[in-house]
Amino acid sequence: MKLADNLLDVRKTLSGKHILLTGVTGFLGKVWLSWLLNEVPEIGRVTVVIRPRPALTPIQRFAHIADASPCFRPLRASHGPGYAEFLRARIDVVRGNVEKPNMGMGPAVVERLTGEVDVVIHCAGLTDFEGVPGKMVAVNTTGALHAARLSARLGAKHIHVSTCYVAGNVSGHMTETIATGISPNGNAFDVDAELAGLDADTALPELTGRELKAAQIRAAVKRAEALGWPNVYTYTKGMAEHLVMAEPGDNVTIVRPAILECATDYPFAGWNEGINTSGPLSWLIATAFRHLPANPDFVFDVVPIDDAARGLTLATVAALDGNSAGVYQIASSDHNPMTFGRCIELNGLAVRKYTRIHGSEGWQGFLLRHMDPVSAPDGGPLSVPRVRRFARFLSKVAHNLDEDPILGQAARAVKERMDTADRSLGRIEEMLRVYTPFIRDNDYRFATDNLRELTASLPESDRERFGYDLTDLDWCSYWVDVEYPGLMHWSIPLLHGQKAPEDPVSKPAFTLIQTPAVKVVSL
Amino acid sequence: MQPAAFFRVEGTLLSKSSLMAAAWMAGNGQHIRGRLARLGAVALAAPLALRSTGMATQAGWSALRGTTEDRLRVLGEEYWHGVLHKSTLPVGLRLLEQARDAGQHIVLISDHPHCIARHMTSVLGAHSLLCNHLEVVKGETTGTLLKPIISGPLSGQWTRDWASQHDIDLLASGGYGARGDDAVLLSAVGHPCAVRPDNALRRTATDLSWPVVDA
Repeated sequence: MKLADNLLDVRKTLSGKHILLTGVTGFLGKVWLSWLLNEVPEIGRVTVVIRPRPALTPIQRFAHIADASPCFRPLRASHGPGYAEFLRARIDVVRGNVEKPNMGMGPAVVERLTGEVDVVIHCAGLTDFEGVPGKMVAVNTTGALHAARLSARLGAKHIHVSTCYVAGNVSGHMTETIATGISPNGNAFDVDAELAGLDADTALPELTGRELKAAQIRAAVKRAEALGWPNVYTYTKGMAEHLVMAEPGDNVTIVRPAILECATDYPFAGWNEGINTSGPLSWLIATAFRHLPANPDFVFDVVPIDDAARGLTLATVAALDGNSAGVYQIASSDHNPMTFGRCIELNGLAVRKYTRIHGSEGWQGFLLRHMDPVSAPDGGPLSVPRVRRFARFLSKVAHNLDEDPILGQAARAVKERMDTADRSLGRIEEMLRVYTPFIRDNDYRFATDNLRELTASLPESDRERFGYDLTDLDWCSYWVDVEYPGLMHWSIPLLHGQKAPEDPVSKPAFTLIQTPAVKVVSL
Repeated sequence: MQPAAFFRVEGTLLSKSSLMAAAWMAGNGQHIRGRLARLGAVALAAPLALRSTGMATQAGWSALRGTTEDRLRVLGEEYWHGVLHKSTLPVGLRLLEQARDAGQHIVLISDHPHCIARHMTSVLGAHSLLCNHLEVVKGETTGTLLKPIISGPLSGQWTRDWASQHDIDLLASGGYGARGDDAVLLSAVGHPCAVRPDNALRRTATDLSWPVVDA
């Protein structure tokens, strides 16, 4: 029977189910959990696996999210005084660590959960494009294997959250498939041998501190590039897919989101957390920087986070129903593509509108409003390296004049400013280098046929609530009125070293512990 | 059948012409070179207004060819809030208020393209808006105004057809215009009124004994 002939009933499938979730402190995990509890309150139980922090236990970390995260605002508003009770009935918090076998859970906990959990959703991961290889592998690669093996042991379905960009340095139509043991550039490879090689290449006893870290990243990037991955992130996530798919049985489903950005509706328009892909680029365009080295015709694959939550839910439901297609991509490029050219113009227009409403002073405000950013694949006349060279030249000229009795003081001030500019531009240059594969070198069109087929199999009445289809997403309205203001409020402050805004806690902090609202399975 | 009040926006409710909007849009293009070229094209279209407002409007907006729909939308909003809204005429607003109080269906007729004019409806409190629409192909405007072009004289037949489609009683309706081109529209309604009229409309109003409101 074709799936479309058999209507998908999200609520019925999820009703009473027990889900084990990792990565709830991250962007997707947090939004997905809050969205699920809001849309499918009949869910049986969600056990969240959280790693302790030096000063915070897992339950304290979860309680803080539940109490203060704006992501849980709709739940707090709709349940009012019954919020704690609502969570208590549905959430367990478990201490865990994906870097360890069984995700760091003790034998008693594993035994207790065996046969109880219906599906494990593994969202945990590190998204640094160039993180320290050892840590990235431990979390993204072997951590994923630990999660998949735990699922098998628990007798649960497994949802592995990956990324569309495991596609690597290639352009074109990206299907929802995986060729196990074949790297993006078409070479056969073995993950275990690759990890052993990486260990050997990054064992550099003669180096310490920053030098060691930089050398390890260089070595990992070299290995990644040899297989067709542009950076450590896609390399470690890519290897994870090959590892989990090689596990015996067929209970693994891979979900690959593209670039996750501000919510359109849930928890509310504009919500974002952390510094995601667009944040630094949008921040850059909101500075005097006017030429982004992106290919204007290539597609920037953005998905609002709440749509990603819907996509992840559909894939989970399909897996629970025994109808998983194996790989689901959560993307927009195949059915509503937004090019970099359009995105850069929209970003310029968004900056213009934002500064008009919120005010922007001085010459920089005028420049932002009246000189639009443009894409310049070759860097353009105001490319970062050129401006940097000019700053260095001015610094040198100023240095030569700093002993001058008349101009000396001004020259020293100029030199100081140019040196600061040089350092800032150096950081921007480095950031753009990391982004180049995604904004200039590769043009990706990620297929989303599997998710849209699931959407087509939803009853008409459920499609708006649970369906995944971005065809009607108005990029202009989204970028100018939702994405950019959302980034400015929730993400850009982090780039300036500030804390992300949180909701005021009406009751004493960690209310949930005091009540206590959540059960502690293992601490 | 209900009575309506037809307001030709330019001249009665707003002091700025559609050509000024085209110039402002041209001066806010994405690329500096494009801005200069477009501004030059709008400047060349300006003298045509002496001969025909319609020709000038079409020629002026054709300079926007290649501008993205996104830019038209966002700048249209900015132009309305930052520039055009400030040019509202108290006399026109007073007449609009009176018409609304009289329970008339308020119809705004504007030379401005939809990206700008759409903001008038809610702010000025209108029920219907008739304005120009720029043709858009693959996300960019061709600079062509789609028919019917709301500029120059609107034909009496067109006005009667529109009124018929919307169940409007033209004889019980009012019409407010400021330019000689508006005479045809005003002749189609039972209660015409010249607001701050130019010389041509003033002559017509005097000849036909239409009321004239200057301030």
